[in-house]
Amino acid sequence: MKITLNWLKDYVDAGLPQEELLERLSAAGLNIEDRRSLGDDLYVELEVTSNRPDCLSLIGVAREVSALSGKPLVIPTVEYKTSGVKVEDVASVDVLDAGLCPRYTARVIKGVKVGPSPAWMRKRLEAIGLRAVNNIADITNYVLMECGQPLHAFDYDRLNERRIVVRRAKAGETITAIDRKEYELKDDMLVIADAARPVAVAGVMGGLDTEVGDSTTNVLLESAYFEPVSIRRTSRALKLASDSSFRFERGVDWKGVDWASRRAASLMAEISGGEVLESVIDVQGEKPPVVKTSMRFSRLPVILGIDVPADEAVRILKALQFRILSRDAERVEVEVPSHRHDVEREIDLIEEVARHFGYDKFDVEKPISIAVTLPSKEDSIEEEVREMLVANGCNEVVTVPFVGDDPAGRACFWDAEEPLVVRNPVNKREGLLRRSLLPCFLRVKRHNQNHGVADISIFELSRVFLPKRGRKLPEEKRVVGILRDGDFADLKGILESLFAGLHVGERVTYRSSESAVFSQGAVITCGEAVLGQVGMVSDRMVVDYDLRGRPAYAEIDFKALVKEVADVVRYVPLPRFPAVERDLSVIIDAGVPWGKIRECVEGAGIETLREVRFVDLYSGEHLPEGKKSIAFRMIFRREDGTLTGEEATGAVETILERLKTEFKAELRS
Amino acid sequence: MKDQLAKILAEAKAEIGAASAAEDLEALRVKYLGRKGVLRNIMAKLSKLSPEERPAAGQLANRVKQDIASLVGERLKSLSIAPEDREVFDATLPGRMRPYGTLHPITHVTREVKRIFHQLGFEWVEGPEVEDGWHNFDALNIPPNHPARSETDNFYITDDLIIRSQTSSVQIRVMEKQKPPIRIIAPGRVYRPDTVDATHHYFFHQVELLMVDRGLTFVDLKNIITLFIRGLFGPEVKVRMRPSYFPFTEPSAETDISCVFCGGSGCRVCKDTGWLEMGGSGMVDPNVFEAVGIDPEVYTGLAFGFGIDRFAMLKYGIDDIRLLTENDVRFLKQF
Repeated sequence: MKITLNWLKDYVDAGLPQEELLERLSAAGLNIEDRRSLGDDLYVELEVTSNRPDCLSLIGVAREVSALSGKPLVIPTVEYKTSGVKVEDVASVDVLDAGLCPRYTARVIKGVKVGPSPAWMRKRLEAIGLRAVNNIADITNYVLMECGQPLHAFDYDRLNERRIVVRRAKAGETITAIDRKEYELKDDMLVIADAARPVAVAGVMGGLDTEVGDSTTNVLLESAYFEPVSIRRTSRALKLASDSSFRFERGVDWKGVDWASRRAASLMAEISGGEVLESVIDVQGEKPPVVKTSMRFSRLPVILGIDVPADEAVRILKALQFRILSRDAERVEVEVPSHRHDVEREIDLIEEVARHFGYDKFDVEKPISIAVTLPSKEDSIEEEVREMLVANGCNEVVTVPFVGDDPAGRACFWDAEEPLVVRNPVNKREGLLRRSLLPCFLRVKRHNQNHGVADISIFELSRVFLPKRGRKLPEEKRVVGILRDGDFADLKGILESLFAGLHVGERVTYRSSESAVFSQGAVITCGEAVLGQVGMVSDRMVVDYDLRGRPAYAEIDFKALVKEVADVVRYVPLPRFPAVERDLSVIIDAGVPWGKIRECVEGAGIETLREVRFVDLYSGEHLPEGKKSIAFRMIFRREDGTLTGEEATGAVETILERLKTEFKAELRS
Repeated sequence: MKDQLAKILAEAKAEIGAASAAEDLEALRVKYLGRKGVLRNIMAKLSKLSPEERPAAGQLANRVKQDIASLVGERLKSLSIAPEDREVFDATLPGRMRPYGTLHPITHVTREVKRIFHQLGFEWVEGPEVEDGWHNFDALNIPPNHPARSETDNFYITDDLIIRSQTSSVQIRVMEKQKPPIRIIAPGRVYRPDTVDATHHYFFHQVELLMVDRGLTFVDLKNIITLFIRGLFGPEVKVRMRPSYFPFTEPSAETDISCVFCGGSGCRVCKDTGWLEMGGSGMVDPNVFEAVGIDPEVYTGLAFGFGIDRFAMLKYGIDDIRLLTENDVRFLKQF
């Protein structure tokens, strides 16, 4: 709400220094959003929360000032002479939808002289950012800002049959509003029509045809109460908002409808020389109920934690125009003023008391009790994973989960239905909710590449959204994504460090697998559990994201990983006897994966074999076509005595025999 | 004799220090300690001393002998390790640096928040980001037709499936399952349609606090917020609360802190007000309690929802919120 302090003074003289007044307004909930000196006046923009439409006017603000300063509120007196003609004799109002328009009033002012408003009025309107138009339009705006009740002035002579019909629009009807744009109306929108056509979108904007202009001599003045939800829907649907719709959709004061009309009529008589017709057409439907509620004084300290004396609480409520119906030692019962739609319950009254008592009174030092909590296993491992990936040179990213409908955007490593689609995305091309971090990482990769950062290693521990059949909410799987410029072994190395650090490395296996996502990829398992996948990003994605180079990517199911990590680490005694190391180098079909060779070695039935370690891979010159040479180290040890050289040699021979039978391997000399 | 021995030791020291090969050391060993060595020579003269002088001189000669032996031994060891160390040494040449990574500023700040509340015994919980209307709206006292439900303020998937617009939905999930006393903190991502610029984004992070127990009051709320803010920004920061409105709390408050850049005297960051807006809070609205089956006559609750992005921006002086999700590695490496 934009005000100037001089204008505000018309309604209340707080008798406070300017700064103190602003501070107290802020402390009462009307925060100062902006301020600007206007010479001898001060422009102030107040933040009004959506529950307080009663403060969307100078008088509304003055009411708060009056309550917080104890100074009286001065409402302008409304006086004007009326002609002998009654308004009912020259105009009629039919409200066809009393649900959407519970109250409609009309007055007619004849013989107005349209022209510029007086300087004082223009100055005030312009000071709060309104454009002065002509005296009639300016008066309606002035009164709107003064009391918060939107008004509309029609050129009476342009209304067919001098009739106002408040009805829903008919399908296909259009109106050109005073912003000179044409709007197509729908049948759930309320319009103000004359005998033939809509002349205003109710509560939102008037029509151009019946706008008051230089040739206008007679005015029909509308002041009404429209149903808030309907106004909001219409305003949103038409993408048309105004000072009027802003107030109607928050709810205006039923009781203020007629005062605003009389106030405007009196100004029109005074300023534009018009003659107000006698009486008013006031069509009323169901009146909002009078709200009565009560507050137990004992609840004040229960909610607030400080003692507010009962007298002080009652004083505050009275000052805010709550009518005290009864009061005893325990409670006070009040009638809520008609402009306060936000107050219905005891807690609402407590808030009023707290607000005007002052939140600064709650500055009471009070210790809080402490309790003991332990981080969950998941929490601890989450931190460990982050630390280890950082130690491996990865930068943590935070990515937005909206992705495009492209192969990367649809990528998914998990069991899921089709991705969820956002109905109203900010970026129309990114309307899917990700099922993998990959598309987000490819975006990051592209951004960095385009900003001259060539090689990146990034990770994130975040959620992917996996719709499941028969479930309303998707599964939100927490995954660890890692993207790295480098080859498969680079990224696999990071995974190995990570798994080793979590002491699950020995149980993790990698199995090559085909997928649309990877050109070369593998499924990662730990025991029975699938942990995720790792691979080189496919050509298609490299092209789609304009990447120079092919990054490696891995995605790990975080919960599955946590499950595999032992709850407690148990110490294993160190070996008491020395180990014997033996290396073996074999020539074998190039297609036999190392994993198979290792399995074969481990499965050769050598009890003393403790570890098999890959040493080297060679293919090419000096080797027959389709063959490779693999070297590995075996570590043997007995737990009950020193292993002899002969024992080790025997074991290596057994293993070699096994490799020969299984893979036709040959010893490399 | 005494002076002679001292002189021998000094000479031996110098020669041994200068030796650069094992052979040279061997030669020195022979020269001083050998059968026809310098020390043998001098010890032979011991007999010529008076019986009173003899024991002291003997001891001294033995000590010198031992000293020279250990000098030779040490020098030999030092010659045997890392001979290249004795080449021209340049401490300014780069080392073999290991790759290093960094945590995202949001994680740094979230960790700090976590640390503060961990000390107070708060449990850390998470809730879904895709929510139903009940948890995101109805139970939070935001009835159908409430403006807060509009498509301009929320991302919708279907009429009853929303990407959460605040972490307060986690409050409902917790209270549906857990009976008071409740003491939780819920960090998380939230989403609200907005045009992206330096200070606005449709994707950001919040941390939600909820405490439900007998006897909790607005005074406790203010104390907890003050404790939290000072834990994060230092003990000198001032905290101010002013009335505000949220459907799920009443009374509600907006929290301001004295500007961490200018200390409250007014600067560009605080727009000359001396205050920075931190986020919303309040006492849990009785309607919310009723929605989850907690008796508001018996229990009271307090809650807040603060923006983590804002904390991070203030803490690190980040002037553009877009940097937080752009993930430019040159930016990320700074944290």
